[in-house]
Amino acid sequence: MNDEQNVSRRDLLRGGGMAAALSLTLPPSVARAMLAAQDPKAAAEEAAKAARNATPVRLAWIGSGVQGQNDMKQLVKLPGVEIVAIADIYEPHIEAARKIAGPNCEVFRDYRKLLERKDIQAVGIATPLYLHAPIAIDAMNARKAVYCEKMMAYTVDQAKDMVRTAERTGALLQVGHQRRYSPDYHHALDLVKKGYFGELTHVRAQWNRNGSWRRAVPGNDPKLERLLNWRLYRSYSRGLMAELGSHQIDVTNWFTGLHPTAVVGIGGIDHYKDGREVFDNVQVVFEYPGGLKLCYQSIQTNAYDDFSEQFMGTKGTLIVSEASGRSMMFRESSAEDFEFAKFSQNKQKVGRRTGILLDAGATTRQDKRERTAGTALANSGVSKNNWALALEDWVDCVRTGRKPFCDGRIGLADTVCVIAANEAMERGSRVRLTDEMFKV
Amino acid sequence: MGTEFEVLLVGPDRGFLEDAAAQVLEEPVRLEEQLSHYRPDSDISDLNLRAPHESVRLEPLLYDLLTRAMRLAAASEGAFDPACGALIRCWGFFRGRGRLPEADAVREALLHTGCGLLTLDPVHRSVRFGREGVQVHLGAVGKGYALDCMADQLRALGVQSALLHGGTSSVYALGGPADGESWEVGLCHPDDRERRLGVVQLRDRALSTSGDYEQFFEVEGRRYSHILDPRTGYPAGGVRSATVVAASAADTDALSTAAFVLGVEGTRRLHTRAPGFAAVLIPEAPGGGCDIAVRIGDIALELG
Ligand SMILES: NC(=O)c1ccc[n+]([C@@H]2O[C@H](COP(=O)([O-])OP(=O)(O)OC[C@H]3O[C@@H](n4cnc5c(N)ncnc54)[C@H](O)[C@@H]3O)[C@@H](O)[C@H]2O)c1
Repeated sequence: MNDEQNVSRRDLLRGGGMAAALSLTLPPSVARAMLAAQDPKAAAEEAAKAARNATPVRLAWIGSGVQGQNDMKQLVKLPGVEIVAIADIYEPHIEAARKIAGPNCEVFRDYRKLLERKDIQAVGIATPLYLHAPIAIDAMNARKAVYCEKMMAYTVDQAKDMVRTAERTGALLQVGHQRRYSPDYHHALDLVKKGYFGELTHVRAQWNRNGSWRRAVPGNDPKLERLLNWRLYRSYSRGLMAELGSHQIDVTNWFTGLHPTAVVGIGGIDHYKDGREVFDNVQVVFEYPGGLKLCYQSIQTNAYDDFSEQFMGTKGTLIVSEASGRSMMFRESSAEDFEFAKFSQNKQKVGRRTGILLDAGATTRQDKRERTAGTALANSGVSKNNWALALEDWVDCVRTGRKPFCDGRIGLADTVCVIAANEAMERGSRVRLTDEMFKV
Repeated sequence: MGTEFEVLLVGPDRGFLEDAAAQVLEEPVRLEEQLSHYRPDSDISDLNLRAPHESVRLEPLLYDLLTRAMRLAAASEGAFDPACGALIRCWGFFRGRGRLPEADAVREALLHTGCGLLTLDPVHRSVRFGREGVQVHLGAVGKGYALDCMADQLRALGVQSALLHGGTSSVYALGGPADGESWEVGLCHPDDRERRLGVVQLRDRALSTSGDYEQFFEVEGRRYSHILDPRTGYPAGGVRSATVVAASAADTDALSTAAFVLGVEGTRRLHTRAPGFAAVLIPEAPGGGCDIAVRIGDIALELG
């Protein structure tokens, strides 16, 4: 047990810890949210102070489809933030986005015109994948801070270009792997680092759904097919590995502090033969240094397992998921009970086994052997979703010039893994991932 | 919302309709992430956690939904109230089946109930609570709001005929069915859900029903409905079911709750103030059971 870590976490969460947070592993937005869950009053005082002093931030958003709208909904909750412009080429999405950004927001059909507006400090990008890099690079060259949705880029070379451009221009670049801003994931990683699960040897992750993944096209208009269903076509998309797998590969890279050295896999277009060009089911195995394996699956014909990442260690199992209340830990029968005992209040039966429900709000308290808040708090957990926290932290970076936690190098490593996995499935052979590939 | 949503779409292209159905069924899931009282990280939970201590900025669509709920609260003289979480919690309806609270606890909860305790700032779209313990609970409009959003999406996709419902208590009829002018929606009898009380014709209209048979608990033979009167702090009585028809399902969802709480006379008053709806109420007969249905406003209802 690492006491130093405990002390710093306590300092962090009990008043006066905000400055300390910067030097720690928690993004400040996450630290603040965890404080608010434990002591809403103290957090509110800090928040009110911050809101009074909040310098205005003028943002723009490029690509205002489903995720762009979700991201904007998080941003408009923040004090001082104004979305002054959006760029998109599809009217219904523009209309929906204007309801979120407000009537004063200027609409562009050509994002390059938007970038000419000097007053815009930062832009978010949630276009189809193939446009991420060209837009992000133009934006950074126009000296805008960038939030680029995942997956970072369509090719590895593009991702490297993005990193280089960020470093050359000094523009901030954050990539939209919002789990990196999840209090639950940070809490889980803390437990991994403390050795609760022993030596991690295997990871199993999946994102399974039951459905075609096809968006309905208004009036069945063929002209709109590729604009709305870009995910299904290879010139815009990298398929399931990029759209879903990239999140979970990133979690594995993050939790292990490693990146894979090889990958094999099998995919196919076996169930939805509707003209799509990307696999409708993928299953790959990544090999990491030291023999750790990540088995990954994403299918579209059975949703039973939905989405989670399962870390398997010699002493126990950790399941983390972005789905609320699904993160659990299990002890191996051969491991001592001691480490798990202090979480006993969160015990839950899962089939024949007893698991411990992880909740950054509640288990952090128990981790420190303190009384739980009981029923006094409506919810023991943190009250902000991961996208909200990721974007709040990005706005913090824009204000302060601090470097983002989830930066271009993280996005690049993830892109390398996804592209290699697709290649392994397409070629039907083992693909090696060399150190060179991850270097800029 | 913990509610099952279903959609029935009519049109010539089955594949297109399947994609459209899957797509609109994502809407309640997305809204649940924003409106849920169970998820700690929903916007509503965030509001409830922070608003006693600071002004909390809301996303504009949520701000609009809350202000709309507050207007309905005002029109219904508080019979429907979105700031009723403290009361719901006090009666144990938040996570459980309910319990009879002490009178003191009800009085205490009432001190933390009511839109009057919310201060809104339309410029920043922010909300602040007048005291700790106030809880916004959009349970009585959320389901209907989801149906409205789904219907809008279906229209935008070019779907012209659809029937959608959330937990069977709120329905939206888009256009009419393939073989008729309007959709026919059956109302169930409060004493026997298998029995049909009547049929309502709906076209581009929403319908919601609040009934004492839906969720309730019993103590010593007495039945306590889950529908609370935010003005008294106790479960509403006197009405077995209240059904409301209007253009928007968010409105019918809230107004059916209001009508159930207000009873026949109160609902008539509400109708003169806000005539954009029609209703049918089944009052409780003096010795229990169901009295004769009372219509308010112009409702296409056929009894029997
Ligand atoms: N972080 C997450 O959890 C998460 C979730 C979903 C999607 N995403 C990512 O967000 C991105 C967008 O996904 P989506 O589901 O919102 O897709 P979408 O198709 O709904 O939205 C993309 C938008 O980009 C617009 N667009 C296309 N070409 C454009 C151009 N030249 N200029 C400006 N706008 C243009 C489209 O009109 C559309 O509105 C993808 O990269 C996806 O991987 C991330």
